[in-house]
Amino acid sequence: MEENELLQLSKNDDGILAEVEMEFCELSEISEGMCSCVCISDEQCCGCILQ
Amino acid sequence: METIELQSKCGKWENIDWYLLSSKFSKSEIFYCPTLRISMLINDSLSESLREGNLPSAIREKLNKRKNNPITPIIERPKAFHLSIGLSNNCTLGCLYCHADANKETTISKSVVDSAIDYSFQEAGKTPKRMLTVSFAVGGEPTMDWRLFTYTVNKIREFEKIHHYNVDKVYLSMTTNCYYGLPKRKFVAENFDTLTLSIDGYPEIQDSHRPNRSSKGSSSVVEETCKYFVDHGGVRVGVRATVTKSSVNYLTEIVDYFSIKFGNNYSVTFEPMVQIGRALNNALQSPSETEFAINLWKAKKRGEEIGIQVSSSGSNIKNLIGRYCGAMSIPSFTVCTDGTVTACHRDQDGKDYGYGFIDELTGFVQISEEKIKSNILKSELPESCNSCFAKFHCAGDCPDLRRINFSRCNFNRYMIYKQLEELLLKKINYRVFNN
Repeated sequence: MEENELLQLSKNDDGILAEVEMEFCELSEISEGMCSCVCISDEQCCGCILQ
Repeated sequence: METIELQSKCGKWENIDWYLLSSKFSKSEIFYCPTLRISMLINDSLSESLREGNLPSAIREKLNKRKNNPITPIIERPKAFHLSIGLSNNCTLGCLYCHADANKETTISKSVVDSAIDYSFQEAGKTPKRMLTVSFAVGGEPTMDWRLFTYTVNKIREFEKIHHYNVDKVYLSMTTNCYYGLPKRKFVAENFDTLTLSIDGYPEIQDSHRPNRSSKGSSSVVEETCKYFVDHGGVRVGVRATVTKSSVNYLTEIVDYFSIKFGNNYSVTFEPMVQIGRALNNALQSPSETEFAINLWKAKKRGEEIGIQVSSSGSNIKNLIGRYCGAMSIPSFTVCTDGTVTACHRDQDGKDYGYGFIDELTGFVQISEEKIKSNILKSELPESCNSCFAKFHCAGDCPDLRRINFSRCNFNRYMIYKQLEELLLKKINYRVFNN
């Protein structure tokens, strides 16, 4: 469904069309033990900004 | 001309930052309050009030329910120990944009390797999980001097077996150019836990960006190696492609090509070429932020369809962080070929973030606490980020990119906005189809 149609269908009296509770990673999930340089996840050391 | 620039207004409610986000490329207006972990798609009337600086009661009610549980962006990283070793400043490839300009015949001495490994086990044994992570990512291709490479890897694995200094587990990771044959592939796959494979795309792109030292194509060997590592199954694989102005419009096709060649049991990271090292002296150009952002988003969507996670460093919607990485603050123990110890593996000669030295003759490891403190300051969130809604998703971005004035701000903001918008539209979609 197109964004426009979705927005039409989601009209709500209080003006809030949708609400999301954000989930963020815990400390250990971000960097525990793994490459402290440029890690994207616990398990993958990528050296990703090297070229 | 498409634009990725966003308009955002930052406000405060009870000392908590909120943001109103709008863009020319989308009809949605988003209210975002990261530290209260809430995001909302709102109508024009609420947006108008927010633009005038008034927090509408409907939004205030939502925030009130959450105000007692704000979260703090992560600043302190766990006290882990990470060793990174630069074995060589040379390479089997002649990539046109090499950040390290790796063509120098210098290698690290075995005595410095021995001291670095011993010191790292000793320090890792004192960390809460008694775990050591090792990467080979400073200067040149790690496998270039094969004898030195196997010596280093075997020594680390032997120390792991005997629980040297009580270390329980060692993880080995490496970014590699994949330009080698079966015996070397076999050794690497058997000894490494994670590998980042540098390949820029299909042969036309790979061979023009990453030729061998005789200026011949590298793609056939590199592709065979990538396939070997992915199929091996014992090693976790990420594919890393550098993106230039000439390849930026083909990111979706590159993802498709990788999937045909290697299946989908790996992730793909696209990173824009940065004009440093060898890239300063050739015709390749960095992609614009707009081109990179729009094409990366398309490639990410394509990846979702075929089961490949596509990403780029910079910002991450799943993280709320106060520092981009732990390299400066932990700090990372990155040993250059001359024995200099630095915090960042981009700093191949230790000139920018060097904080120590390993003496080749005595093996003594000298550390400067003062320099460590000065490096930590470099990783703090810049004041210029204060009013940016993405600041806790990128934490000011890589300090080393900031140092060379390479900005990904518009790209980072676009990616965060698109992901917020996607989460919210999915919510509506779900509601519509379930009512």
